[in-house]
Amino acid sequence: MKNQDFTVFHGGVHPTDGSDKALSNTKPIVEYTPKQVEISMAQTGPSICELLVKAGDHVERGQLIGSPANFFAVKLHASVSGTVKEIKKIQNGPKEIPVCVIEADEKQPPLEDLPYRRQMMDLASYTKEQLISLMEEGGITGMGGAGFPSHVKYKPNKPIEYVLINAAECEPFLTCDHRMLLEHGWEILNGANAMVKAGGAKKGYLCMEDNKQDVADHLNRLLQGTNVPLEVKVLPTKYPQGGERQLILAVTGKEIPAGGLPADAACIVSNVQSAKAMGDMVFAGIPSITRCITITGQVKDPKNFLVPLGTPIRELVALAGGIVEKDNKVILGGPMTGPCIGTGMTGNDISQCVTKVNGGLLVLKNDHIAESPCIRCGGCAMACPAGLSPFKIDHAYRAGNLELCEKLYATECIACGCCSYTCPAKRELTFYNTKARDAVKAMIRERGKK
Amino acid sequence: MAEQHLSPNLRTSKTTQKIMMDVCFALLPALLYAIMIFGMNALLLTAVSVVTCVAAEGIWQMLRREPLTISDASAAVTGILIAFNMSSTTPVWVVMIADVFAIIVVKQVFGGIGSNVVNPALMGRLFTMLVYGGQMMKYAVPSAPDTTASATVLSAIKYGEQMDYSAWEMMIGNIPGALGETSALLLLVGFLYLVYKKEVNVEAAAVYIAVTGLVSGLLMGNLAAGFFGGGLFLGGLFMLTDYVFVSRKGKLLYALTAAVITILVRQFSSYPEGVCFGILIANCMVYFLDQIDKKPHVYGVK
Repeated sequence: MKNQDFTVFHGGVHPTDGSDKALSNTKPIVEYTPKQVEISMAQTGPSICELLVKAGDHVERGQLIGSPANFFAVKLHASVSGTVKEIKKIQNGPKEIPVCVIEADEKQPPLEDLPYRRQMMDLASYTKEQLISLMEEGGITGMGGAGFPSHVKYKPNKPIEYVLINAAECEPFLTCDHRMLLEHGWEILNGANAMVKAGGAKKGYLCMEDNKQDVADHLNRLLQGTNVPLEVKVLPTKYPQGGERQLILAVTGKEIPAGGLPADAACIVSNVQSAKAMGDMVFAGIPSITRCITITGQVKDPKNFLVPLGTPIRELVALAGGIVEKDNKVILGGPMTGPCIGTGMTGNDISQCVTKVNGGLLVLKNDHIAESPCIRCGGCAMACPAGLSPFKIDHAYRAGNLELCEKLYATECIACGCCSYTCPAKRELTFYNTKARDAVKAMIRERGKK
Repeated sequence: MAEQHLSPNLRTSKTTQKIMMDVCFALLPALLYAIMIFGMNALLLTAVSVVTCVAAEGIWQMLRREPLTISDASAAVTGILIAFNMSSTTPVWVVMIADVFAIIVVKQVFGGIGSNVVNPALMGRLFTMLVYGGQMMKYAVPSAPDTTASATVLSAIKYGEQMDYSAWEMMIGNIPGALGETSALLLLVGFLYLVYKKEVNVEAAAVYIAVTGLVSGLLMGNLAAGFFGGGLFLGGLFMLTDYVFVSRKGKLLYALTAAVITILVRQFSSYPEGVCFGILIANCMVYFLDQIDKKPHVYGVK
């Protein structure tokens, strides 16, 4: 194919046939504000914020309630106007994490009808530095799952050519990005445009899989006649197309060097909902306090919800008609990378609340799988987008041979899940490969100290 | 709760058992044909062989208190392949000895499925061939299955005997030989099913069969015999690539190694057929061949 303007990355899998996304990709976003939100000071695993309010305080929507206490954290704001009812403590391993419970006021301030929701805005009055500081003020972070602070990402020590807005949504079942692009296209385009300027890039690409051709057509219509450095890029549907490294390879034809960052390939990658948050912050002064989440799988009526941070997910499951499969497993996020939070759940027993990085809640039929011996079919090596031989790393790690793991480039594992997905023997390759990766990285750090 | 769910939470529906059952299914056309030309003895030997293999694996694992893996159907595949490698006139007890040797000594002693170094079926066959050579080398003639000819197409050519089979007869399998190896055409049909299911390694099989068939055919002066006269299709399609992983470059070398040895044995040894040796020796070299591809392409590594 001569005309193709993307690079196909090696490996990858096609876990589903599209019927998974069809469950919810035609369902318009439902806006919902709960009576009470529970905002965790740890929006992602490693991050932690210091709580700035106490029980009894009245807070306004958008008011700062948490200030970053470590490198991974970003500013955290009240997602509703209301009264702080209590500060709950949730145990997460050795850490005790404060959770701010806010009882929402009966009347929430209405959203102003601002022009950035209807048209392309001019950025001439903003400097790159101003935009990055708005990013920091708005608590904008990677909303695709990793939750890396955007203002750090946009200050690389290398020149940037491209900003890639990641709308691949390659995880099966999830459709929140799809719906956001269709229903909040202008906000996203304005946010993306601001991100291109913040990164000092010459161009921004809105990257999506070809299962979202309707989105591509829609965005191209919006972009028609505007004079912004944005382009829609349609890529083949293949998991993990939305993996940062795979996306950069697909769009620019360049690989990030091992151990490097996207900036080493002159790119910054941001999630599409982060772009939406950026648009809201720059043009409406609304920080990152909402997100879209897909509730899907074995629920009666799969839906996409636009909700304030801290919305209890069990309420959304109830709004989606509840769980219909008793023998289930419930996954927070997409089926490939999201963790399983329980089996045989009823819906009311889901304690998690929406954070900046939750793209979905998925209920699957429990498959009761068990490991069996590797038959050396090599399927995992064919599927690995990093080009590794996961079964060899798995063998080496279980035998305690970290030196061999290092030689097999275990450090380059991206934990996408393709190997475990494809394994006929149902071996937990992803689990052990990521363990091997972390152990080898730790070993290399130790070596450096000596 | 002991049940543990690790990401990814979506897994392919393919299982080891399904793959092995598909292999059994793919061998079915050749089995039916064998019954047609060699009679019910072909079915009897295959059935006994499958049962013996599965029983041997089960008993071994029970005695060793290992987890039982007979349900993965890999022992059944070995059973079918061992029977396919024998003449339909082979005494049942010889087949059973090959089965037990293959499962216990070649497969389980090395750690069971996935850990064996060489193909159990071929090794089992080789063992009985060396120990009971006389009985093994007599092959049934399709037209009169109860009488045995001591020659196959390949041995006839090798020793200058008269044997008149057309290329078509060789291809469909209307020739003397081991019960499952004669019909290249039906083996290929089964193989194509596995290709459709994406469960086989096409490159290695194609390279092995093309090179071996062509070169040995030219050396014998009979191309059809080179391709269809012996066990090339059974070996190349179902035993060469029976899950011994080699890297992308390694695969080609692996197939070529097997081809060269097969050709040498066919041409220069006292045996007319070299498929068994070619594959077994290539099996032994897998770990070496895998390392030749020193720099597999890892993302971001130059």
